[in-house]
Amino acid sequence: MKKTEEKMDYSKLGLKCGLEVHQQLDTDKLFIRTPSTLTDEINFTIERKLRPVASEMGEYDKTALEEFKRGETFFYSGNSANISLVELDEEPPQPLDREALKTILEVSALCNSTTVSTIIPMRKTILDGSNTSAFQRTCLVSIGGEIKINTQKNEKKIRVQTIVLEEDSARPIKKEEGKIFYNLDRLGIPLIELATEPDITTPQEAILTAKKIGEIMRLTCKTKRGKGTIRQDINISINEGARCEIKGCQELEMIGTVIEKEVERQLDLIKLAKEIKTKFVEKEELKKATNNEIKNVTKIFQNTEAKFIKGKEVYGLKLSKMKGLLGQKVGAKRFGSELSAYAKASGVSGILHKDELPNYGISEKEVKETTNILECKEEDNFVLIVTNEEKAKKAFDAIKNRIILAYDGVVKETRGALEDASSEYQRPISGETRMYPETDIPYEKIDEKYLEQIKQNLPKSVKEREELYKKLGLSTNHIEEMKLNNYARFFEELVKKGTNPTVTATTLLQTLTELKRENIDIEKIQKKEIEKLLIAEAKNKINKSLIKKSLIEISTGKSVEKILSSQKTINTKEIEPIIEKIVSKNETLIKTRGLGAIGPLMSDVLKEKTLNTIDKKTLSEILTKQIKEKMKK
Amino acid sequence: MDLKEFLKTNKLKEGQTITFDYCGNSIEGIIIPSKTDLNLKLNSGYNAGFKLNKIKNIKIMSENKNVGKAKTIQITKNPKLPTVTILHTGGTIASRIDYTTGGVYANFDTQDILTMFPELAKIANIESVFVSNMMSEDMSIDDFKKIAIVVSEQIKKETKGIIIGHGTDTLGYSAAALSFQLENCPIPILFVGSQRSSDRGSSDAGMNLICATEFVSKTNFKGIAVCMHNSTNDDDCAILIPTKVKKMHTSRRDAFKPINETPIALVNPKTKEIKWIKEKKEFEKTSGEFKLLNKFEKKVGLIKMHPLITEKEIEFYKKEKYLGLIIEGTGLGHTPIRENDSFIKTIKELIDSGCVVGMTSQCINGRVHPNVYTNLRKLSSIGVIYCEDMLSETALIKLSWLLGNYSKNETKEMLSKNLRGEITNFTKINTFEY
Repeated sequence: MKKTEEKMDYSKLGLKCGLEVHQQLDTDKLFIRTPSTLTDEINFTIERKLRPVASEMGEYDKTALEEFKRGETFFYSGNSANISLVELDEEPPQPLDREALKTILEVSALCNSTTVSTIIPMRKTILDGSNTSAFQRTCLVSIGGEIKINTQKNEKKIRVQTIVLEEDSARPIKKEEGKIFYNLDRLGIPLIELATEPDITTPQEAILTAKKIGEIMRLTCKTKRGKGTIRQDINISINEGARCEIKGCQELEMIGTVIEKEVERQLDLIKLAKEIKTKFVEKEELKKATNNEIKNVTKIFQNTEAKFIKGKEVYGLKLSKMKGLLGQKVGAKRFGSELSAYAKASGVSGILHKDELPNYGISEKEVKETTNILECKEEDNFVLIVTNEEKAKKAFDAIKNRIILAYDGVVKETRGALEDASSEYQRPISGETRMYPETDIPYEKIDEKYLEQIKQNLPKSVKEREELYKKLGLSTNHIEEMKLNNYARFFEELVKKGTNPTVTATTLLQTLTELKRENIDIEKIQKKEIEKLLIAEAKNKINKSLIKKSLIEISTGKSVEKILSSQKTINTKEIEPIIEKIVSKNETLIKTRGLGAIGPLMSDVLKEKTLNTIDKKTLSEILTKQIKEKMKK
Repeated sequence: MDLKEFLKTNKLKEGQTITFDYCGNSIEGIIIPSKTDLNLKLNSGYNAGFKLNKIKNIKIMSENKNVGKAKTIQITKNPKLPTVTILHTGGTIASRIDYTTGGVYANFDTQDILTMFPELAKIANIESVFVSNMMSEDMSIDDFKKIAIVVSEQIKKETKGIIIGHGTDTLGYSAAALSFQLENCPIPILFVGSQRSSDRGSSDAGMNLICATEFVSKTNFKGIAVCMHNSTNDDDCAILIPTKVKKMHTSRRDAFKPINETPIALVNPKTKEIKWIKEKKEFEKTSGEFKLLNKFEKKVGLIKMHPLITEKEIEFYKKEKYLGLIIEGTGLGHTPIRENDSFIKTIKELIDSGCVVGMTSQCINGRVHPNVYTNLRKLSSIGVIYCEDMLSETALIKLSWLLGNYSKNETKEMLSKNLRGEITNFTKINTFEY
């Protein structure tokens, strides 16, 4: 990272970045009461089509139209145990989840953001099929505020633009020609979307900001964990460039590289525009150079070695005076790849251009024949598309459009992050015409008193937690693990009520995880029961070694009271002979150390499996009594 | 200060673009309707409300922005295609929300419809006629008549067929009512509704309309039918007999199911294939001249039998001088008998007062029967007419229509006879399979 920062002077380039962090919440779904768990065990599939609708301003959204033109059919799968008619868009939504609302209000307060007084649920038009309803439900909750980050030089404030509560989309499974498959399990899980102003000026700052936002979200103890539960989008622009939104960055560390690569790509596009202008003085000339007849060149490739073409329809378009242009470097790839992505977005699988041929099994002879049929001169270029005529026309239109846009340099667009941190065109940047009110859900008035109450009970900061946990005597490991754990607030609550901090931390961080691994349904263990059990332990009513076993019993429906009372029924008369044995074995120790032998012998007593169910206090009393008797003798 | 006063003092009105300070944030947006807070459509597209006492430094940036209707496209007619008339009666099928007022406005203008569903123009030349803009639950006998009159005017104009956009709640009643009013209907008339409003991309309105237009344009069907989704998939629409169809789900797009019947046909919107399930020929002929019989008797009721029912509820119809009553009985067509046959006696008194009483079943599926049990025989012996496998809703409409157009004796005679496919001769085994 440092190396590149030295290489590029980002302040001179005028780099401006804004982040959009999407965090899944570990609450119920936002407007549906089905469980918010993911499963690949599907038992039904339905088939749907979507179409664009005009916004309340009477306009159609560009993105929506582009998506509709692809004419795809969507297949939605799910497990009928987890999916309701709401996910299928066959029933109106249910009321807003209160816990998700509380969580976003906490995040807003932690960022000093101003919460609006009426939350109005909106529908954001999305026609890529990821929402069965063709829209995503989304609510603007807060405006403004700030995130503080510590750069190597100083503390910097990154302004918050908006904090939004929205539904996650369906999970994409696979894509086939004209068909997209989704799993419905993820649809409706609440997401907090926090967007910053473009105050970030280096890749390093972007990483720090993303980290800090993640941390703030996790302080609430209500976020989902694991891959795919947090996603970052980055808005990037430089001087003479344009705002491009790179979507779907799942790794924190990747953010820096994504920015570096996008800056490089924009610089290349600016350079390319200059070169285009040397060839085509007016934009009209460039337009003319793309405006050639689309020709069917299928014949040429009848006996080609290139398997992906053989037997398929092929169409070609001459690009006058553009030799070499498509092979120009743009970011990690070539200008041809940018065109290819636009073609793909219109529904074909890709393009071929003269600058990269012969290649991929296409022979020199075939290239020459193509050149002849398309009437290309030495200075010309051509593009080939393997698909039917209708789709080819659409794709060529998209390509022509993109070439003309290159005259002005960087194009404002939404791009998808790829695994190597480069990105690919997805769709135009969406406008406000995508949004219209969700009429099935009432407005949410935010009560001032409720907001005040939330502000009074905000989660502790990481620093405060570290200090508190240290004071409570937790080990360094426990402190590290607990401070951003979803159990942190529960832990603090329990300790406040008098449980033993270390035992509580062990139970929450280790025991419960073990049980989960052993396939015990820990969802069935109510927090109240855990509280009762740990308070009983602190009052010596149950041995800590029994906590795991008791939790298993609780998960099967047994109450803590029953567990505690069942231990008491064991007769002290049965215990005495066992302890007596230990005492007899250690007569010499008792003789030399007297009551000082209680400590070491107690640990022997606790090791006795048969005494497992007896509380420490009782055992200690019997042991002391017997040692005293031995001493008398 | 309330919102009205606030708007007045600050010289604000809906539709204006304004800016103000809100707790240190600069807010810009268009004023939209609200009750207590000031609601705005922000530049980001989001709507949100702001507390009046926190709004500072308001500035008006611009006056009314044109909010509302979608831009329309112009489509020229294709002389090779048939003309199909779309009637708008209300419901979500061809209406849009007006976001300035929050109300619903009808998109009954031809260009509006074609803008929303441009595919229709490839199937037929669309004409549109506005009948009413009723919420489906408010439909009444007067509306049934109005629809029938507009339809018969259109029939005279030699349109290839008619599509009636209707709210789904009472679509079944209206379709049955039209079916009885039009004797020997010479063209296809399809009722189409939508379960998901057409302001969303996933609406079923488009596909239902496309399938209906296909069916109307490409078949020689004569009569009334309902065209709605056949399943939750967007794969085909079912053409259903109007007197044999019931809304069986509050929200699903395949809510309309044929009862004691199969669909007439299925229409695939992708392949345009029309698959006939019932005998095609039966639906391509009429047995006489087209006739409009559009009178109805308003004093006709429908009552459901249940363990808590009292004689008093039956007495009401006698007291109010009802001329017809459909009893939706239990099982094969029972009412309670009660001590000393008191319930039966109350029904007999109603019949003796001049009321025609018909019996259907709340089982929905299956046929009522007057003879299986002694108690049934008691009911039929006092003159209760058993309506075979007719739906309760259809029986209600039919009884009202019969009393409007025929004598009481004719009514009694015709109630349990099939006129428009509402009664089948025998119960088919493939009509109750899930």
